Amino acid sequence: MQVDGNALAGILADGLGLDLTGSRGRCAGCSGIAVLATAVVVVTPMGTVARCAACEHVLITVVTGGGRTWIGLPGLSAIEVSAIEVGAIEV
Amino acid sequence: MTRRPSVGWHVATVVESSPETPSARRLVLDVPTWPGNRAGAHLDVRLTAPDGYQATRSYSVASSGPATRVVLAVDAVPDGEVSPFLVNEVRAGDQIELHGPLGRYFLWPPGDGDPDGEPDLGVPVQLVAGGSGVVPLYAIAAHHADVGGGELRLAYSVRTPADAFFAPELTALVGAGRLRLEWVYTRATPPGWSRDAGRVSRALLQENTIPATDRPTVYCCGPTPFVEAVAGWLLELGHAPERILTERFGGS
Repeated sequence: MQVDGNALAGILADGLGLDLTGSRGRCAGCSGIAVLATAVVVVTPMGTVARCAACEHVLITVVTGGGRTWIGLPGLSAIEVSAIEVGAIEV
Repeated sequence: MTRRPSVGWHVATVVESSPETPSARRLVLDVPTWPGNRAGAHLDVRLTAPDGYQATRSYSVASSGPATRVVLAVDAVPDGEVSPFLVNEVRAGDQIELHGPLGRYFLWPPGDGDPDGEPDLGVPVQLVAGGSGVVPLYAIAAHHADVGGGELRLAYSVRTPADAFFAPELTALVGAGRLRLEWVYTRATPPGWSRDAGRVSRALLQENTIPATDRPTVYCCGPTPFVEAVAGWLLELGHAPERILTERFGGS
């Protein structure tokens, strides 16, 4: 199922304690900067993959199993996290 | 809102399940621990099978504000893992697991709720919806009508009149003078409709949406091909990419 980066909000909030959908990230493939919500996301029973909407480079992988979540960030060379985001989150 | 709602897992009790369209149902949920949500936010629903297998899907919230009543409208995706259960099986009194509120991007008013960066509510807002993609846009329209704001328009593409989500509520907002609404019927129109059935086009957007020169914030939600086509045309019509907010779902 193809969706977009909005669908990453829950899984990243669970794993990292941050809802990053409104954050800008830099793609390690093309160096383009975009809001994470605009990434192309494919959700399958095996896991979730987010790709750069501009160059299709894999930005984020998420695999859940055995009571753990593995979050890979192979294609994000930078991600924006504002101070209010860190301070205001209560998971 | 000066304090951001906290995100967490919640147990929701279904208060009401009613038909929304021939393939969708509206679910009213009671979520005692819900911290409230901004207009346009979404949540994740997690279902757990008897063998422990879990499936999670995101759904937009049709309601907003501090209430612990949360409204969803879910379209059954053929062969879906979660939506057919929510549409065909869930009944009043059932409990489901929710995670949310989620999303920092597809929200109105725009921005992260930082009181130092209060957005200008007078900025015109153009909504463009395809099918069940109207759910977060209905939340935005209803909130916008409540708090007052600048010009608000919606272009809503549906297959037939029976496939429209929140039709009575949207019609009421139009009647109250809070919303200008352009219906686009792709398969069948109401009798005597002024335009033949057909898809949204660049020309139709140009004629029936707020012009780029008025610098509206545009929210577009629908199936992936719909959103990509609309966003492309909006760019061609001169809208700035940073003022086009998109949320896409479905496809394969």
